[in-house]
Amino acid sequence: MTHGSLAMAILLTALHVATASAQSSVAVPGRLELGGGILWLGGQSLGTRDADLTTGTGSTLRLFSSTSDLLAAAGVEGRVAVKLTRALEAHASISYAKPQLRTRVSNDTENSAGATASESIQQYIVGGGALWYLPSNSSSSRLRPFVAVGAAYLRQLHEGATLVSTGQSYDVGGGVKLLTASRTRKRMKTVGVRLDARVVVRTKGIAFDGRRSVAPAAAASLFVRF
Amino acid sequence: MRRAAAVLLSMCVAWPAQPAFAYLKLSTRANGRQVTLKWAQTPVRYVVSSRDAAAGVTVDEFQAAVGRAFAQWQAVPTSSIAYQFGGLTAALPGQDDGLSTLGFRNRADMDRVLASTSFLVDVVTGSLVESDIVFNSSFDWSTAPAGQLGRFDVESIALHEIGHLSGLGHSALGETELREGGGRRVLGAETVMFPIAFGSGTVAGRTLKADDIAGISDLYPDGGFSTSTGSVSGTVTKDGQPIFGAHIVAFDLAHGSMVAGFSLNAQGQFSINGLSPGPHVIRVEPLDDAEVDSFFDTSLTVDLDFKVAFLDRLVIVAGGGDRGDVAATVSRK
Repeated sequence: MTHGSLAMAILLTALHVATASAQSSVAVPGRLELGGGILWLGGQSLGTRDADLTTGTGSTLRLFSSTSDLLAAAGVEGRVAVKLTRALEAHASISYAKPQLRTRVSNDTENSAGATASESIQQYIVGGGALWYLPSNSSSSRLRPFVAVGAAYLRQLHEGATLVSTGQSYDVGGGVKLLTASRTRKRMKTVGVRLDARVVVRTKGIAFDGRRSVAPAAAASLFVRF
Repeated sequence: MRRAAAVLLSMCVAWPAQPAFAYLKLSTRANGRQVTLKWAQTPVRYVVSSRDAAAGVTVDEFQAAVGRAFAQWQAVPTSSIAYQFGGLTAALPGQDDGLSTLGFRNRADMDRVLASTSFLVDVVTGSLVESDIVFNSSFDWSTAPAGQLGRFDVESIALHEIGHLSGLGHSALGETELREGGGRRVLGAETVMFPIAFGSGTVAGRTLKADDIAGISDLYPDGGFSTSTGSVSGTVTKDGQPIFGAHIVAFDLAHGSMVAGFSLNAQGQFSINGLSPGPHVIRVEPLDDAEVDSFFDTSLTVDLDFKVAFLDRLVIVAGGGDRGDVAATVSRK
């Protein structure tokens, strides 16, 4: 199964679960949610590319090989969500991280020792999505499991902001919201912690082989609902 | 000058006063100053000699083959150079007659030289006035579409010599091995301006590479060349001292292409122009895959005593910009 079809399968499964459970989920108090926290984005392979010379027969002679990765990095994320129904929310989010773009050079034809070259990337992801609350065992439970999907604009700035690469980022995942305080009669209805894990599919952006890349991600944040 | 495999003759290139952008460009002294050798006006008009011929190649076949080679250089979208066929002539190439003439001559005395390019230069402006290309008919030649066993391809060699005719020097973007009995064999090259030709029977040298395109665009920039491409410049040092003649290769991670240059002055400075925007790996190597005098005047001392090295960071090239902060260090062998 390719990365793309895997992501699609997860997405469809998540949608199915969410649809089936929507009727029995328990609403989280408050209509508007603001949240912010930390985000971990897993690394992604950007592929291998050889520096080739042309031979007299028209074939290639490798001068050296390069393998590139965008390394895992921690970042920050902000989110605003609006309740649409008891079980459904729409959200907008923005995240920032500073992963390293690392290229390993090997197999040099003149037997040069391998080398690693890298640079820092400033990465912004701005987008939106939907979240469905899954059924809860008890109406009094403080845990609210959910699944979520999102699509976002990806903007990656190379070192010194000299060059910009843009693309798209799609994510699907799930998690829980832990309601630490609920006050139905106050302006601030709920305070809680959100934990979630996602599969992130990125297209374009920094992608030397032109392929979509898949990476895991996890986030922890605090939120308040009004 | 294009040599047959294992040739030891040279094409001397004057040392530019300043680092040349992106390529080894020919230069000359004119009116007391160092100037880049190039045509002041285009199209460059050329004629084809019908006087001598090589066995197996008619004048029409020769003219068609060199015409295709001229067309390739002219088709580079970021270069303004253009050429115009002026007809056939009974004159021989190599005569100072104001005509840029291409043709065969039997130069059995140049036993390892496939072809050579000569120049007539305006000593006041430094502009090219005439440039002739001699194909050595003491070799066997072919214009067959897929090449011909035992014969050298006219179009491939013409492509190289027309690079010289236009003002380009040699590029070192290739690997060779020493042959028993002397000379070198080309293992691979990623430029048509490599000083040593592939062997006979091949047409692998018929296509311009990124390095060639950067070079001709640097000499005759056109269109969006200055904004759509960028450059990398910096210094190469060994034991804290700048070195002259180091070969620097910029490898484009996004496209897999390579453009190269040299450190060209006593400060070890280099500059490589015509790079596609994006991250590049920088590789520094000694000039040890061809004779040094194929690139530089013999009076210059080129440092060959260092190991291949890679810069420990990626260099980000931006369109229209120059990354002038590259400091490459190499160590002794």
